[in-house]
Amino acid sequence: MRRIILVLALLIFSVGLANASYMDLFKDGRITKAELTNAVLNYMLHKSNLSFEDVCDASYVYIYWHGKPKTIVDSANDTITIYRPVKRIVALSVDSAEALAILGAKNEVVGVSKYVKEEKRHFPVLSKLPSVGSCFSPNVEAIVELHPDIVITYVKWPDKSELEDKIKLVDPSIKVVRLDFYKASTLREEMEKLGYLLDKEENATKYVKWFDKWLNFVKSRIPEEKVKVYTCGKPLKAFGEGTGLYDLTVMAGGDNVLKGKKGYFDVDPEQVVLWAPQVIVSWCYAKGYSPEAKEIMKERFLQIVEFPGWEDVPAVKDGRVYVISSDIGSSPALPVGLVTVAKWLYPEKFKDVDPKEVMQEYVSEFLHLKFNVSEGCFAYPTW
Amino acid sequence: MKLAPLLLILLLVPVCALNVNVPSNVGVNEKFNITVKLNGSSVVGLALELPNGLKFVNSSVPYKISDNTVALAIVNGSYAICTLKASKCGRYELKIRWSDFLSGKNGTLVRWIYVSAKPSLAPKKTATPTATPTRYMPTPTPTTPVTPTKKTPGFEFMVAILAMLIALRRW
Repeated sequence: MRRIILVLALLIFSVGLANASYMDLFKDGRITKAELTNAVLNYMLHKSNLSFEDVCDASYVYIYWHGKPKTIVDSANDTITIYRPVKRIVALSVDSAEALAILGAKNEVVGVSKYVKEEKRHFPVLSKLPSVGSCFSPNVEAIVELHPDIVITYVKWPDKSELEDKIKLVDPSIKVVRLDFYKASTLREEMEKLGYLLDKEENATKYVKWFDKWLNFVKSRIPEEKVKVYTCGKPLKAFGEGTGLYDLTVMAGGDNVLKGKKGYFDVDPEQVVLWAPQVIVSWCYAKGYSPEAKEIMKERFLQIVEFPGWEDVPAVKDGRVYVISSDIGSSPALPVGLVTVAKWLYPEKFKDVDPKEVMQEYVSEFLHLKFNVSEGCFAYPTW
Repeated sequence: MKLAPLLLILLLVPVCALNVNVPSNVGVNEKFNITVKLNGSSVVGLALELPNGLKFVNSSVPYKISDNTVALAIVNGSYAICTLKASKCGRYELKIRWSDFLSGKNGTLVRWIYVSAKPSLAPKKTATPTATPTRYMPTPTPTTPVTPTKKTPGFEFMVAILAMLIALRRW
């Protein structure tokens, strides 16, 4: 009787080994040499539940990740662990699509935001991929059909109930990674995290070095006496603390008149007169890479300079009203936006710097585009 | 200049990820080595389908045996030596399936081994690497019984018919 039980136990054990799933390889936290060897031998003898892709992934993890899964804490403070090399990515935001292009991971992207599809000059390759809606209204069905390993979206958009909760019901193996790629305070770290996750550390490091170079350069030239600046979208839509434009002007050495006021809010026209800003910087969502951008930005510019009652506002009077495209103000191209704003605030201090050249360097070196930045419009009046 | 097309062809020919060295002639009851060398370090699986008459002896890398197939695993290594033994004379086809799990490539190689009654004519190297047994699973004896293969009438039969036809014509 004992012998029978022993034989049965051995049989169950051996069947269990042969039918081990990919995740079973991580039972003790990492893939060991013995586990991988066993997986290879069973696969070669057609006695394994693991597919060729499974054994390839396990080999990759063993060799390049020392057998351990990769873990990051994303900007939403969620812990993301991946057990396989990431091969399929859905970029639900324009900024994450741009970050992926910088990291050299365009080939891994399988689906994009509808806004990426609209920007053919900015994303000549990625704009050809299937659309999965947008970060404001994601098409979960379309996302799941693409079988991504990860979906990258903003920290705030969409709500978890609209994305993670719905994806989990259909395919729990899909991970949602929330990284913004537009805030100066987190951009650097986010690029490093995604570079680590995708095994693109080298490209991430190259970008971070460039990012640091311009940040330190601007910082080193900011004078003691600061310029008063007002930041807005439309003339009366103020961009206060915590918004990308506010942060950018402060980083560039501006003394923002909206200090202490958070987020986006409406202001009275008289209040702007009272603040008497020396410089006004307006934010525009015109697609800077498109030929139509210049007209849209000009329109915004005129809305401000022709605003009734603002003739005596120093910025208007002295011709120091500027419009910046979100393409450089809050995206991985942020250093270009920073240099641009710094030069607007302190033209004498930055007279030897041409933001257009910085943008061209970014487009050619990091986005790998054959695009002449003069064909687009990223700032108005133009560089 | 004439070399250019040849070089182009060489560049276009898919390069096999591994180099398998099998002796073409061996003597009966003689142990011999199959050497597998990889282009650099990788994770490679091999499955040798042993025909009746060839027996597995041991391997320098972990192995497993099932029926007449011997699986070998090279994990983060660049070579493997598998020792076999020929138990009877004949011409054997050795099929080797391989999978390179890092490059995601796989394929099958076929090698022929002639086993003759006399010992192999090839000079024995003094520093021939021998496979150190790294048995992965216990009792790695091939389960395929060694049964004498029946020679199929082929060449001899054809020659006899041809000779008969010539003789009949002359007659």
